[in-house]
Amino acid sequence: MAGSATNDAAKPLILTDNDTGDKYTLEFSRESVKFAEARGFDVEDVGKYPMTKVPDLFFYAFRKNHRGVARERTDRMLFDDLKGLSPAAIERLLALYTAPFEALVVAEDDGGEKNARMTVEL
Amino acid sequence: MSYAEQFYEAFPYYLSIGMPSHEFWDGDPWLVWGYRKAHGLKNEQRNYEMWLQGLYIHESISVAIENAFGRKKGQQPVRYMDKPIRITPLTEKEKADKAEMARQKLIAELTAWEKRFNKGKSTEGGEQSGGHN
Repeated sequence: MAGSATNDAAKPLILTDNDTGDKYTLEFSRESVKFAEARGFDVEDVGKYPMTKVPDLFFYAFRKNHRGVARERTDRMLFDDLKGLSPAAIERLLALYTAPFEALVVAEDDGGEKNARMTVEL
Repeated sequence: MSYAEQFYEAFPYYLSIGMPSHEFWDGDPWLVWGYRKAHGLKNEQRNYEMWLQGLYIHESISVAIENAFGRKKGQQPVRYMDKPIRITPLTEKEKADKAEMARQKLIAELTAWEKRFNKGKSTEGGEQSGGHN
């Protein structure tokens, strides 16, 4: 898929277990976001309560591609193996979490702006 | 409104433009962008086809009206276009054939003109020579 909208999309976060060689691709689908919200997860809480919400976010990020991985295992990976996530990695997970929503509302780039009354510059 | 609620709200729209349910929920989140864009292109194409159909209808009615009310006695009836309107660009071979046809037509016209010219000249010359005699 090509296009400016998709070029800005966050790339999945890939974890590699150096002992076993297992790779985990962390990203979100609409189903996994729905799954997280159904369990009371609110993305806005990640900044407020990082100690509890980052592990939640981390666990939900496995659901799309590695549904069988249990919460205990993801917590172990996060706290014991990785010793936490860097701010950049958390930011990436947040971007991946919001992508299913952003993709629904992102504006088309095929000339629609020509007739628009207002434009946005970044 | 939660994200999930917004997904449920958008879901029927994406189903209506042909996105399978599993792609919407489990696929790459940005697929929706592709489906939206494809839908826009499809609409444009449909709009163009409808416009083209209108053009054909306009042409056929114009021909019918011209033949019914505008044709003079003895005049050949106007014919509806014998080929569809071309909507795809010409291939290189077609371009070359078209250029060759135009060239042949020009040659034929010039040859005919030359013949007329020479005929007129000889007639004029004959009259002149006749006049002298």
